[in-house]
Amino acid sequence: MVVKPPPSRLLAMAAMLLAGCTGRIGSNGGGMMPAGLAGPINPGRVVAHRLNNVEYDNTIRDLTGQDTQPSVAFDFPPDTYIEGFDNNADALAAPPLYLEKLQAATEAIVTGALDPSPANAAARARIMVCDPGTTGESACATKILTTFASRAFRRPVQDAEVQGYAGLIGVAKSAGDGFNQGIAAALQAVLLSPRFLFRIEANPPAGTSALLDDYEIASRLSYFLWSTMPDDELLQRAAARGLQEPAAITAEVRRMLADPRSSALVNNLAGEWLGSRELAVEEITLTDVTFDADLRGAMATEASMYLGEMLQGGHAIKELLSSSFAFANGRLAAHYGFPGAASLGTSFTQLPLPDDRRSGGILTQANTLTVTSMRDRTSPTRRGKWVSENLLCNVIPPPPPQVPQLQPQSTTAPTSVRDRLAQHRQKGTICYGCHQYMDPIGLGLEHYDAVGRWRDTDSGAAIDATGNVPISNAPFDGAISLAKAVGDDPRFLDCVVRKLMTYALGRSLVTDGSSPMDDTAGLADIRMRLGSTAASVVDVIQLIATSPAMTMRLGEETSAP
Amino acid sequence: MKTFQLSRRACLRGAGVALGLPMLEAMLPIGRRARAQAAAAGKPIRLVVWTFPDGARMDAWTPKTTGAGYAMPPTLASLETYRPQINVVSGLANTPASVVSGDVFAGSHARATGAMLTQVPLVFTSGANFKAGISFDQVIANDLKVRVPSLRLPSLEIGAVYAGATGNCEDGFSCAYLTNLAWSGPTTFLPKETNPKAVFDRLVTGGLPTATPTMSTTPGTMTPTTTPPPPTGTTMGVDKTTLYRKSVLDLVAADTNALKKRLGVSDQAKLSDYLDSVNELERRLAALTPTTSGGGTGGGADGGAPTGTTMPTAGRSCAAIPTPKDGTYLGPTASKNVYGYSELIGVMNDLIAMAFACDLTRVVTFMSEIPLNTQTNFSFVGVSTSNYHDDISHHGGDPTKLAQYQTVNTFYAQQFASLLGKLSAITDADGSSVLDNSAVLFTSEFGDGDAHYHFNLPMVVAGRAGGAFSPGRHILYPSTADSGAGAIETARRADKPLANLYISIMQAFGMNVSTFGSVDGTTPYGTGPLTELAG
Repeated sequence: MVVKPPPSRLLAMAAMLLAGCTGRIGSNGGGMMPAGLAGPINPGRVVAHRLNNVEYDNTIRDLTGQDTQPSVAFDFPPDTYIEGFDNNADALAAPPLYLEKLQAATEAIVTGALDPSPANAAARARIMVCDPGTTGESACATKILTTFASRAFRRPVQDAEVQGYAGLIGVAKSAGDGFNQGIAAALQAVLLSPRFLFRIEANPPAGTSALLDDYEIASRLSYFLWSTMPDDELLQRAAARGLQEPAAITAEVRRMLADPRSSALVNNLAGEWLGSRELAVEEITLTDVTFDADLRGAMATEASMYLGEMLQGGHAIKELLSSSFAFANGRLAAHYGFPGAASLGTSFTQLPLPDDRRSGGILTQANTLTVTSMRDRTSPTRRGKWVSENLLCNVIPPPPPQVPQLQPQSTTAPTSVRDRLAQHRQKGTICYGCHQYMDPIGLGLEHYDAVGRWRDTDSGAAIDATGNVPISNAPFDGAISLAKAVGDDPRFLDCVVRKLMTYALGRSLVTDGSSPMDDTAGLADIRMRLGSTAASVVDVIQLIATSPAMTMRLGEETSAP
Repeated sequence: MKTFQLSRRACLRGAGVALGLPMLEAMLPIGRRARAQAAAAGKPIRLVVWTFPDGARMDAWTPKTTGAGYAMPPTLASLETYRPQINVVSGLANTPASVVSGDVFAGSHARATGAMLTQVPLVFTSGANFKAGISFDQVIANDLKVRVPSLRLPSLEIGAVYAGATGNCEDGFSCAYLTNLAWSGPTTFLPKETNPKAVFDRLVTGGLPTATPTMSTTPGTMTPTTTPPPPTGTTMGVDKTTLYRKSVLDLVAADTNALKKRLGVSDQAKLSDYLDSVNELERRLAALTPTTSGGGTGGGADGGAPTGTTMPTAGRSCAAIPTPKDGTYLGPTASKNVYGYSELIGVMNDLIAMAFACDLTRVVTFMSEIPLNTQTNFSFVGVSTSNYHDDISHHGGDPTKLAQYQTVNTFYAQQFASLLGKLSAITDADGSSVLDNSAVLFTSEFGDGDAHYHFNLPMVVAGRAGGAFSPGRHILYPSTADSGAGAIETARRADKPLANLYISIMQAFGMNVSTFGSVDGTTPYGTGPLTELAG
């Protein structure tokens, strides 16, 4: 029996080797520590978290009952991607341009929410919960505003807290307007309050960690799983102090994943982690494919549906890369060359894979293969880099200056991409240091063209899709064995945890020991509990949802030292 | 007050090293500021920074001789018409961009872009602890907020390519660096607007909603009906609307202040940034309301910007452009991508011209493509669709790629020339052209893109800046000789700092500034103006 180093050793070695692709230690290459040796788990903290554009739109939808996507209609500035995700609290700023758009949107939202037309009666009634004619204006304003603000602020609001807002009724009266105009202004003030716009948590004494309160946990869960505010049920559970125990959180997570709103989690992960948002702006100049909105949409839908099935079907982590099925509609099935495509319509169905050309996971989905290609050809380097960074969490440095990129295909001397890439992999060249970590994986996917269709040859030469996974050295021949090799790699387990954790927390993870908020121990703990990629995707989500980083907070100084 | 936030923000990210900011005019006592401003009285000075990415083919860009009478190089041929109004300035270096820890090649585009207008080295991070510095355009904008409060917008940040479609930035460096030019503070970048209709609306309204919008209750169909009035002197009834907005914002500000007190320092900083934005909107609300700023239309020489929601007509050839199409070039919503690339740049140039003609803002930064952008297809100027802009900038000496690189550079020079044409055609309040009263920069984050040089940058300085600059020449500063492989990314301390150009511009704006930026965090990088610009 061959004695292999334990997975944790492999991980540490990988991090060392990749640091700058030069063997130097100490850049930001990962710095993982073996499980069990990482010391106490520190929960860290998330800075006041502005709702990003997706979260804002969803929250307004659930708060007002109107799904109007104000961030799109009012051209909110785009959120900044940090480490692949656009929900990073530190980067979610609110510069004047943002507030301008927000203010215009807020005025429109309130006008729409209070629209007296019959079509809006139910939504309006949910806000105008009393009649000033019978209860008196002051009492009625207080009731309307405490009810609305308690939902908007995602925690109960006392009467005294809304008196400032209620004062706007007096402003309305002084301007010759009535109660309703005053309420409209007060609702605007609620929607512009940082208590609505930001998720803000109480600050424990500096240097100490404390459990979040139930409402804070409710918001953590709802923005992680739904990208929106807690629903009434979750708020009721918080009111009953029912979210402090891991078992209670686990039960809520189960309920929330079964709710249609969990499509936000799936779509955001597919869009950001798997990159399907890029399909909208991806340009393909191949002449034998119609890369229209339908095909782009179908590729993105497949990526989302597959991820959704991984969650809803209780699949193992490794099945993200390997399974026996796919999702397609007629257009995508024809694109893939699946038999019977003509009989499929525009809606998607789960299909058994008809042959052994695809691995049934994200590696061989058209979305992944397309967004990692150039306009008119494949790029094994880009594909390998994508796998390395997004599935193995090893960041590859950029090429040095004065190095030409791959020459386009010669018209006189047909050569495969593999042949042209060979120059990268000559030992001793400046390229070899990094390309040894990228090209081999990408070459394993050369059977798929720039839009993910199967091919047997490249420029007339038969495809050679053999290789070894960098560092683990696992051999493969084509996508199916490559998917299995990557899926069994402990780095993949680590990477899935990291990606989901980064998304769930909405902050960067710290694993280089540079900060007292180091997440190394927390990550190692989750990895150890999972054991291997045979654990389910839902298990990862449950472990993250109940982890110290999600349920606790490290206190901070209240004045600059 | 905005001015005190510099030091406050600089200290917050406590990475151990507090970046020592050089003394800025904005930090000076009021008396000295007043004296500095006296120098600029009488001229409405303006700034445009107009950038293209990935550097230039410098042998086709740099004139062979210096002074007047140089032969216009091929890339800049379209600028021949404006020869009397431009200086080609060669040899400037962005040395702070060359400072990096770790891999010397990492994040070269991002470092250069983030340091371009801030002139400080960036924190090496792909994560959230990004940090640059205040950019010089924002130093000017902060001054204008005080000096000319009636301007619709203190500054305008625009671009041609949407930043949010992809999370692919440059390894090891934050997307925040690569996609933004303007920074109002070390951790606060100002995002760009890439929809011309939205830019138009902002300019006309100062970013304030103009009417109570309505929306349909049908999902997904909300349409803002904040269509601004035609900018031809129409006055709207804003009094009651303004009263409500002010009351609401007052309440939000009070709410934010009360909340802050209970929080840790990083949360407080976050809310302080939000409070700054609330205060800025309140400031504009007050400045643009006739009852609080004296009323009437503007048009005086300096400080004569329009008041209220009345568009100015006096003194300048102010005219609104037709309302632009509502959409983008490569935005996230396919159905809204209604612009061709050069078409969109043309409209953005029109908007800059309108903003200056009507004195709606005096500071504009325009970022055409995002560096490293792999989306823009230059087949419309004959560049093979197989080749991306960043790809051809890595020409490796290949003649085909060099030719394509030059073609793209030339395209941008033509677009820039078109802007100069528009600005020179507008008669300013003092009878000279708007271009005469402006400093209009045409530049990129790199010199030669193949080598990712942060020195010998391509730079055209157009306009007289109100008489401070004397154009018509090629000004050449010697660039430090290469000392072999490995020297390409090293800091070029001997080269003429880009920051000196910014000092010249800030001084033309009447600001009492003598240093800007820093390479090491303490020593000033720019230490005086580019005296040669004055002639």
